[in-house]
Amino acid sequence: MNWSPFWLSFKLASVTTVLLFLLGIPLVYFIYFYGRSSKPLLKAVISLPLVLPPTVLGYYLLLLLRPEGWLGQLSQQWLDIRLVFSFPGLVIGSIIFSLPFMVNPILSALENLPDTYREAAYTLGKSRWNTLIHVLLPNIKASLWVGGVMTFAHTIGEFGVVLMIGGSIPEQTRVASIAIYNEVEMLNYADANVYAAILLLFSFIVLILVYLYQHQRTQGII
Amino acid sequence: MKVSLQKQLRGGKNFFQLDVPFEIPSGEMLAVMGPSGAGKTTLLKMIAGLVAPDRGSIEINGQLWYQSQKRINLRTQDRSIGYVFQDYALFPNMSVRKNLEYALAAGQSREIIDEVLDLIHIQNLANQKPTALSGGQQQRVALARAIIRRPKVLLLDEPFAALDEIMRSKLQDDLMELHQRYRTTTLLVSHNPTEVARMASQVLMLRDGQIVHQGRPASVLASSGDVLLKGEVLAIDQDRVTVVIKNSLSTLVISNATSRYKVGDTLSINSEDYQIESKKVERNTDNSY
Repeated sequence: MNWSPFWLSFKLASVTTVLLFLLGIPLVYFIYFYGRSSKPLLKAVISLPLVLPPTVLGYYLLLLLRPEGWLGQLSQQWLDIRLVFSFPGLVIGSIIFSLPFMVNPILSALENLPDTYREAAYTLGKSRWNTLIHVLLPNIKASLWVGGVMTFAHTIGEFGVVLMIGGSIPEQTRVASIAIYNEVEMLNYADANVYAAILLLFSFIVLILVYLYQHQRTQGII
Repeated sequence: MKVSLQKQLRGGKNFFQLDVPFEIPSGEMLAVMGPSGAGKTTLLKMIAGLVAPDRGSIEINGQLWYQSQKRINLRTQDRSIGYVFQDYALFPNMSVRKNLEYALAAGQSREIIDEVLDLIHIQNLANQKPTALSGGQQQRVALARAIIRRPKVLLLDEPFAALDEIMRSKLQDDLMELHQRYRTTTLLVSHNPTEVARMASQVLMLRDGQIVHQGRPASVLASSGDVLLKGEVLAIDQDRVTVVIKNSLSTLVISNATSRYKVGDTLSINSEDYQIESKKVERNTDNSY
């Protein structure tokens, strides 16, 4: 029984979640404060991975990341990193397909806060960024948690995009979801069973935790 | 403070023009009255820079905050204002003291926090979270937070509307004390004629975005034409008429009552029918009897 696919999945999900926090919050800041007329467009672009077939997303990412693609070329030239069929490429892919799982809960929580929080902070002379960090985000902690946990879980569970741009290279891109596919192809049902059961249990536990948390909070308010 | 603002507003399906020119001497309190939807909150938000006017100007102590022709429009952050919102807008993630500390300007001394806490009688609440406070207490904190920076203009949007009569009158006392101490130019949106008569030195009466009356409380309240009293006649005994007004009984003395009303009539009294005497209430500090 080889555990490296799980370790790889865990590493990919952790790196993706941390990077998405760092990228997601400035993005949310921009959309919330400046995206007046362009808001619907930005939201549609961010939510695309929710409805696109993973193969479509994977295909375009492949075009972008391959050595002839502009991002692949840039990375090859400047960083000497190959992006297709490699871990760094998987991270870029994961950031894009998990983006809505991080951004949407945070953005909708911000939009549900009373406008007067923002306005009150402005009247106290505080900048937009200061208002976001000290007033708005601390009051939507629950949604930050949910965004982080869902990003992590969704990255663990992604299959199509990973297969398109990462393939199935042991220790490099063969994450848990790919490993199951691989075992089935080799008719090794015993290992596939274990992998699948672990992923099922993991996903279920994550969702239970998220909904328990939300349930307790709503009970607390009433 | 000199203000003249115009903006197209929407009330239901109709558009109407908000057009409010007024001037108040520095350090005075102006009450803004009028039915809901008249543009009172919009006026306050335009002065705060939270809502953009179509045209006009705002000038405070010779400084221009807004002037459409010269394209001057200071950000809210750069206008020196204190704003008490209808919903108080206290930050739930911070304690009362933290709410006030957050309000401090860069480099401002912390001493003012305890001074204001004392002045508004909420020293004992300093470490509480806003969600644990009653409406009246939250109102006090909101007021305290609004004056921490010693703003040039204080904007109060129906600050006492949600409070009961006793709490309201205590808070009015505190606000008066505060006003006398700091002499901040104040705009007070209010529905309550008693409050206005008691606190303000000037009144603006708005209707559909236009000023319908303007002046001292005594004259504006008396000429407002609002219904002061309306109820159903329950019993008439010679010149004494008993009326049900908002579920409570009142007895009025009206000459020739028996010939003018019968039981079941609706009796209504407008301010045009009677002259109202109103003056600012001086605080009675003489406790000897």
